[in-house]
Amino acid sequence: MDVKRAELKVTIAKLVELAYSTDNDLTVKLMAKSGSTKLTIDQNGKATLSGAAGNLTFSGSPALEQIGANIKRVSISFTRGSDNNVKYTATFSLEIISMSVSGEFDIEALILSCSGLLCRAASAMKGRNQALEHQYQQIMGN
Amino acid sequence: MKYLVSAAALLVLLGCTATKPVSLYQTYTDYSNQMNAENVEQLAPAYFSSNLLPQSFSDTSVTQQLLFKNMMAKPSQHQELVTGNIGCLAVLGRDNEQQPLQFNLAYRVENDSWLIDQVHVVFLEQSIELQPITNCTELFPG
Repeated sequence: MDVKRAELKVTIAKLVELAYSTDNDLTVKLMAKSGSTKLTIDQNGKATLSGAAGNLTFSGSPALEQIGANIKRVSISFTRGSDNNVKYTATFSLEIISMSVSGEFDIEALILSCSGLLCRAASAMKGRNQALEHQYQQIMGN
Repeated sequence: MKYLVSAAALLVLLGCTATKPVSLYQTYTDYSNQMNAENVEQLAPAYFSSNLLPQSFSDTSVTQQLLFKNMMAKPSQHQELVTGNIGCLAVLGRDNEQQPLQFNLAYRVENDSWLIDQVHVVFLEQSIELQPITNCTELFPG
């Protein structure tokens, strides 16, 4: 299997970015509020970010297509404490196996990177943007 | 006396044909040593249940998943639990980047063989000590 843990973690950051580009206010409310938030993606790529502040749906396919494997389902639980730290546990289901990865990130750093010039420029470009990938990797850990 | 001898013989025969006590780790080791990219289609039915076998082996992503064992450079610990005709195995080790990695495998008996019925790969954030398994469901995401 070619899928590395770092790749899965960057994918999680990209999914948050997609949510942010769909509705930045609701994404910030969902991710910034203390407590639990859940992101699920079905086999059609439909993503739902849900929590106490409401629900946001968007397409997760642009992030999943960049992984070198056919992802059938995704389930991510985010838990935010009293500071900017967000813990997550994500499960990616493929045809034969499933994979889990956990970690934590600074929500402010991730949201700022999503709203910054680099992210907006990258979103306008097709294909992967190496500088943004590197930034996500630093925020999400390795 | 004749009946006693016949009953004893029958019990011996039954003992020989019943599913023998198994080490799931041994079956995993056999799979790990025997299966490779060249023989995956030929040997997959010997190690994976009919639930997991793909319809086609033409997708390299699917065949790579059947070779998930390649993700672990070296196993270091394992725990297993067998209850009747089902069981589970946890294998802990390091991935090819020396990060902690765990395989959680569900097994079931099919045609008198113990076959892998579910595969869950866990990218661990830190090294752990595997505890004895009390319930196989705890190894897989809900």
